[in-house]
Amino acid sequence: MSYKALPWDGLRGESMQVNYKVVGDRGLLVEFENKICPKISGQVRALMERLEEGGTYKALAIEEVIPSYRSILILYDPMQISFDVIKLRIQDLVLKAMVQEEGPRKILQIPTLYGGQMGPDLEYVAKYNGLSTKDLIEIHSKTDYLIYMLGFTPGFTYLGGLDPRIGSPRLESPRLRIPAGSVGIADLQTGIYPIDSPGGWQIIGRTPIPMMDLDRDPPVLARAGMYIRFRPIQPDEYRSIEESVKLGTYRAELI
Amino acid sequence: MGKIRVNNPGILTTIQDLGRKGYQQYGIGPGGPMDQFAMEVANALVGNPRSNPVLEMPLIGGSYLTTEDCLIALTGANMEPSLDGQAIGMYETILWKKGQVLFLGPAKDGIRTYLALGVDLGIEPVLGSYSTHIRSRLGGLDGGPLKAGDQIAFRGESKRKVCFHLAEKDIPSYGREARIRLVLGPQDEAFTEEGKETFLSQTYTISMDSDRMGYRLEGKPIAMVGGADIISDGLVFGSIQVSGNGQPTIMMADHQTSGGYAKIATVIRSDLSILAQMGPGEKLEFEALSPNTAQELYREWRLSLDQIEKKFLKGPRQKAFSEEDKDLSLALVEAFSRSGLESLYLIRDSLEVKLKK
Repeated sequence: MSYKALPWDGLRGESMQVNYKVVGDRGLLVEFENKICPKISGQVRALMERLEEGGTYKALAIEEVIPSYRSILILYDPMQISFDVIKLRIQDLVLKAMVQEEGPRKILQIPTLYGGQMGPDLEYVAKYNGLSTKDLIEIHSKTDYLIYMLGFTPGFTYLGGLDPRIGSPRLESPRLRIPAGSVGIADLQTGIYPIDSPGGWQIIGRTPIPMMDLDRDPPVLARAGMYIRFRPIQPDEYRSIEESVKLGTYRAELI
Repeated sequence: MGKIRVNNPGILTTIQDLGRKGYQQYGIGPGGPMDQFAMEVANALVGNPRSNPVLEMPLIGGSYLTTEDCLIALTGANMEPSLDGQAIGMYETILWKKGQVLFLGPAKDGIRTYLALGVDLGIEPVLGSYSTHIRSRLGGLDGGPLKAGDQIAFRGESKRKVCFHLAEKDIPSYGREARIRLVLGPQDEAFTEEGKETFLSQTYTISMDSDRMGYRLEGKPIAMVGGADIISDGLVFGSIQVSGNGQPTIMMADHQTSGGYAKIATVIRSDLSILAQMGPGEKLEFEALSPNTAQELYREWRLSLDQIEKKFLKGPRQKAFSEEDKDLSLALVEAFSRSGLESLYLIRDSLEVKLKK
């Protein structure tokens, strides 16, 4: 079931089509253009900001929102609001969101120790791409990666923007346990494992900072819409950050 | 301060409340009961708020001992429960006395039993919920299923002093076939008309590869317009994804928060409780509803649960099963512990055959 909105000329001078779709008896899926790019992701963020404004959840009986690359799934309480009504209200918010100026970039800096025990696949990935490990680290750490969405496992970030010069196939046989904080590359993606888990990504380094912390609310450090920048560090800085994390004095490097 | 000691945890018994709300955007799934109807009724029978944590026991319940008196109620699949060998009933308030062993065998009909306890459990919520999410190691006792030797502390006296039960006619009966209602979408445009017809007209078999995360179905492949892959988006309990081989998977309570396959339909809330009580080898057919009808049914379902107390009858129920059945059930549990999970469905089938004789 799909309800198409009329094409609408946004104030930014671009025509845009938004689909509003029924999800079972308690969901509304708002779909923007079907592609992965920073512009569409910005539209998702803008609507998210509108939804997160005080009182909106309550007024629209929203129980949960799940943003993705190009859509937001809104779960609501059908005892309080019907699909037709919430759809109209969300359409209003979409219009309001589009006239909003884009805020400044938020960059979350991730101190990362590359290679050695922390990044057992660094040399393989460098060799695969015909680069020195120094070049690989430089290329990997000079990009700001947009966090398109969180999902798959708690706190896992879907990042965009990996330089194709450092892409690499997955491991032939996945590892049973990849420690939390490991930084990996798979195909044309890079990412951080937020919790210990099995996985098949090539591991090139590790960060000492906890991406997931159940004592924090929200428990995740990285949020969709932020950018991630990897900052290469040496073993002694790794140890000192690890120490301050333990003491509870570590502050996230948000710039 | 009392304790519940786990002598035998069954197969994959977990603590579940209504689940974690509001964390899916961070990749943390909601969890919660597979059969919300049974879970809420169990709580209501012991006088708890309906959202209280309960034990969800799939396939075989196990054996437990309490060190203090505690009111309990069992709902969902009938595992022929007993206290110190004395049969007790389903869907009724029962006093579990200090020192008694509560035993639950293999599920006779349906596959998940809920045990509500009319006391305050001494466990801590994680991100606002007691629900165990095994894959993320969150909630419950240390994020995992119950183990033999585990102890669950509890406090407080049971609030209810009167015994209630639910009338036979209000107790759901579980079959081996069901017609499950759904709303098409949100990506039904990814399938051809013929593909949608295939989906809605055939009988599916639930595969062995089915658990709290999802139920894989087996049937004739569904024809697609292009491929099965979409740009990953959000999932909900009841989303039906279709993978590249044209076979659907229904996302269940422990589903991932996002997925990259087109979703042909979404099961309505009330019918998820029916699905939750079905297992491998059982048969499903689907029926598409209009979104308005689905929302009407949702409201009916919610109201009937909110007013379930009105349907309670005072007093205990009649005895639930014979001595002979109990011996059989004990023998089967023993057979299971020797031969493991793979034989479980065989055990269930043989149990059913023997009971019919």
